[in-house]
Amino acid sequence: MKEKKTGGSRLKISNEKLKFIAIPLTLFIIILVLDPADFLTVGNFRSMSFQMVELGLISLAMMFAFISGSIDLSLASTANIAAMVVAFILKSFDGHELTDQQWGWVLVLCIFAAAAAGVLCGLFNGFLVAKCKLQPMLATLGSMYLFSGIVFMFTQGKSIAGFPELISDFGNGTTFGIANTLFILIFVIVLSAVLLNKMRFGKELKYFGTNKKASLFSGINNSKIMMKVFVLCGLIAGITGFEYVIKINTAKADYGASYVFTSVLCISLGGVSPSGGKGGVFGVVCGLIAMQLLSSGFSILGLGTSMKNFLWGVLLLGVMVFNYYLECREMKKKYAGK
Amino acid sequence: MAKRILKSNECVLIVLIAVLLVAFYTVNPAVLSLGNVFSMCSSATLNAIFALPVLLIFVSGGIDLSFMAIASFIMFTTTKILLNNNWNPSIVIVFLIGIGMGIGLGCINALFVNAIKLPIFIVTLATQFLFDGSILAFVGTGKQVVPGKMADFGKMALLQIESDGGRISTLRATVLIVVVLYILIWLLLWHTRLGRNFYLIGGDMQAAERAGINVKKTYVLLFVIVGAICGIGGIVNACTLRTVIAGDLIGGEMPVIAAVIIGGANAEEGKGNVVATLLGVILITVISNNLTILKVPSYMQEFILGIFIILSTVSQVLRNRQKYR
Amino acid sequence: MGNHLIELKHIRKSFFGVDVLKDLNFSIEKGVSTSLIGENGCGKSTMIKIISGFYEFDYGEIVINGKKYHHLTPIEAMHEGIQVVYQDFSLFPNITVAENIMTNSLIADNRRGIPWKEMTQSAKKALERIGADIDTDILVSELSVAQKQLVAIARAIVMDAKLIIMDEPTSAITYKEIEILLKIVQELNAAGIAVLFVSHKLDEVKAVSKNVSVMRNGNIVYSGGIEGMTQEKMVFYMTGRELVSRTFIYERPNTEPVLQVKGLGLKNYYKDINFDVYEGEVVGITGLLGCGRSELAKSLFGLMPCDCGEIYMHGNAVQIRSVRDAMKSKIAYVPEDRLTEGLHLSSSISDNAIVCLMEKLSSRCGFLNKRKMVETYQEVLNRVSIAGMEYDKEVRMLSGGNQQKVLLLKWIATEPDLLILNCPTVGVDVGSKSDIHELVHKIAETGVSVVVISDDLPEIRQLCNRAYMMHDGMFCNEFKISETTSEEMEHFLTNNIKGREE
Repeated sequence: MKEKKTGGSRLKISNEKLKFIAIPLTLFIIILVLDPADFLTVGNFRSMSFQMVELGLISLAMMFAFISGSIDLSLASTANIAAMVVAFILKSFDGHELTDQQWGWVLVLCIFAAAAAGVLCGLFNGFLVAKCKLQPMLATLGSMYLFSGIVFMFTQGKSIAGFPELISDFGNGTTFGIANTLFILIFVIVLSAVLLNKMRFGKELKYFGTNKKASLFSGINNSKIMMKVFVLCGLIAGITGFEYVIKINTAKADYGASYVFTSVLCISLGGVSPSGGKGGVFGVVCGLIAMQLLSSGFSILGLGTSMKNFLWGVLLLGVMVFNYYLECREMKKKYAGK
Repeated sequence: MAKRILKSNECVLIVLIAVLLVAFYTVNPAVLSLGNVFSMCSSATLNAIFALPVLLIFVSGGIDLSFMAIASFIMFTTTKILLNNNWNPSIVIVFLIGIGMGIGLGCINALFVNAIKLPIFIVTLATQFLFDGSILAFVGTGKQVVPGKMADFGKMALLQIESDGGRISTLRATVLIVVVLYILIWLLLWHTRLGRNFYLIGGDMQAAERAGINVKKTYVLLFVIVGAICGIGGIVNACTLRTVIAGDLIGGEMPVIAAVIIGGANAEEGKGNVVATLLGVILITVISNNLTILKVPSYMQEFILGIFIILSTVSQVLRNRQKYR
Repeated sequence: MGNHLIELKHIRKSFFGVDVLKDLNFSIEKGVSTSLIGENGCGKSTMIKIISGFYEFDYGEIVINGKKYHHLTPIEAMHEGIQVVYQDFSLFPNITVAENIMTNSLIADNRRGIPWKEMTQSAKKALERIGADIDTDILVSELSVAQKQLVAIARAIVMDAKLIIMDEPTSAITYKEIEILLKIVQELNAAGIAVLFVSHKLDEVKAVSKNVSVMRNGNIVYSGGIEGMTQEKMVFYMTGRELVSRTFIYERPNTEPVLQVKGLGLKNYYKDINFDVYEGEVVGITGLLGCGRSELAKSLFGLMPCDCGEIYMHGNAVQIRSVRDAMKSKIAYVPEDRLTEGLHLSSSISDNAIVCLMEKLSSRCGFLNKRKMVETYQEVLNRVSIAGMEYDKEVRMLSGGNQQKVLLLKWIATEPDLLILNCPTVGVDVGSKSDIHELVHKIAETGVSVVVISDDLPEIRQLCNRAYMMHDGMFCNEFKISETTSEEMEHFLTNNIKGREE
């Protein structure tokens, strides 16, 4: 639809995208100028690509929740449930002598199990929000505790570790020089982009996020959309759980709790509005790269990762102030043009 | 009128707390012993203090995520300042430093909330990272033992009662701070213009502007008060623990927010009150403390907390539905 | 001179370099009710906001009670006794009725404490004064729209007001309540309180006010007594052109009715509704607010499914339990409140145009057909001229009348057999109103049946060929517009009111 718009609007859209690219690009150039020798190494890029997968996945899930005008606080807990399921499956195969190919099938089983666990959690959230009409924030706050409580109960509060070396080799391995886990992220990015831009679901989701009542009055099935959003969030979170188990080789109940807020930071950088209806995959990916560049770039520069949180905060505030300023200017222009 | 009171959230909470206490008592009579009651008071102290900033922002129509980061920053920085200068001042001065710093950080929050027309949730999420990061980046890392007078205050007892077995049960003086703060905030919210203005802004910001309320100024005062309470909370935490670790407290936002929500506060509608919030804190403390006594493993507690949050919100939704019928 | 309560002299105001008010002169006499009319976007609301101190003006001066102001704050305006009853009431949903009534006066008096007891008493007194029976201890979120309006008026009179500005006060309330409101206005005038009555409905203006001012393009183009003012003159001053209104001529074809409703009922709202609508017919349903007309419409559209009775489309019984059921039966519904129920304000015009067509514009596996989307919205939006139209412009940038056109087009695009319009021209200026009426007639001529729900009798008369009057959840009269005079219809409506009061 975007191709056929009037000339002026095409310019505006590319402006919007330019704005998102500008942030990581500026950071990239700054770091490049300051320390090209350490920054421009294959190793550095590889380690960055390993690090950003989990945050990227959770951010994409959070993006869907935000576009619908809600929030999912239970993403990390859902990921941990899925991780636990994967860990139990791997443990149960541990003693057996399996060939490489058989391990491959086990991994496929794990992916499906993790996705199924995530979807189940998502269904539960969706039930609370769409059917019981709870506010998403409260419902997912409750299920956040519920899910991590479940993991605690099954694991007795201990972490599950020690899976076959083959698994962690795969999780930390590369194919064509690209981290295996990054393929998962790329897959989910493409999936999200297709869902959001090419599918009816994405269009309806945006309508729903912009004005829930008007979409109900326009024949959109609101509770189905809400259900789908939470199932999708659960699905992506489940995949995240699988990803981190094969990478760090452990599953535990309180892993990655901070990702929930960090992901909000990430998608806010990417222009996704918490009031719903606005946002896209492109912006989120730019936000993700910007955050990753900051945290790893600054450790390369020897500034220490302790600056990381501080700079993330500064970056988000800066971008918000800048956007607000731009918006004010745009409003002025619009009025003047009237 | 009587019906309304019976159906109110406070009443439900009191009944729930009573039922829980009776249930725990039948399993283990030690639950209602003086020692346990005192220990529940101590463990409720911190959550009770931090519930106030959350409540204040809730009634003003927003969700604050930076309160723990502010408290953590103040707790660590104050101790650091005192230790670096080899200073061991009276506890009043320590609190004043904490409150002063809280006001400063609150102003930073207010500055951004006023400058950007975005939800408080997002702004305070950013400042949370800002404050959290600046502890490690600019103040320092590691562990510190607090100066003597702070530790003394943390140990100070309001009441000490020796029970039959010779065990001494202590009610800590920090409980007094909670009592004073709750009375003050209750007065603020119910009997001052400023407090009512918080509700008005939470109810309908545009209408508040039309009524002649200076919304920006009210936000500044709101975040200053919130910052000051966080400062007090940070210092109380430092005094009780006697050692402070950089970045401690951060990540503990959710149980506090959960307690306020169980207390019936609602950011979307600008609802909430002090008494119900305190009851929410008590409910959560009763659950978590006594489950520990009953030797329920700590990992079960999160599960039970989650169930309580969902049940209490479901019950609120159901009650609202009845009202509109 | 001394008779003037407030005088605006040479007021200018511009936003971002665009003049909204140009050298405006306006005055209100003490204790007299004045009406202010004008099309949307003529600067009415800007002027109100300047009088209430909410906006600063760029140039000129305001004289209130002989005191000159070059700069007016909301608090100063309140101290001068200026009160506004806003269209959306500007009440706080999360606090009690009593506090809502008293809050403004407490803020204006700069009182720091909260006198709870005194507050309840004064609030009760204020409500008594306007004859409203509302519990002062409940939250405003639990009130009905009409009750909210009364609370807003009570809040204004509590403040020792000298001038009460009512911004389109009748857009949300019923005939019966309008009568009460008009009585209140008279009482206020008798008590020496001036009222500035802003309205779109010309007949009310005549009923309520002594003076009338008409605004157009940021200027007052007419000011004077109400005597001798006719509907046609008012319209002429407002729009600068003369409008021809025509009635709808209809001949019933010899076919089965498109919609047939038999014994429809929904507990507490309406019961035993029987009517039918033929192809290309425009049928009106009128009655007081709360008579069940909106609920009936919502039932036909599946938003509030009925509990008993049958609905037939083209002679086939249909079950309508949800919006999607209704859409499958080719029923479309244009809601009353376009801002919250009708449009996705921050979405583009083109997106709004095709929101109901998602099923058609996507493949079976859920992929969107982008080319078809573009074609569709271009076709849909080009049916009517919409001022300021750009496909990717946000809908909220349009004026109320143009927004309403988009909303109507969005539903016409679904190619319905039955189009239900609930108050299609609320808050729409006179110019767009006639555009919309023309559009409705055009659609009807293509064979679509239209049901118009409205409490605006002149509108019903202009739009429909037949009308039902609803009262207390039941149909009580049926009219052929061409055979009934407006006096007769009004007579029935008021008789129903009296019948209810007895």
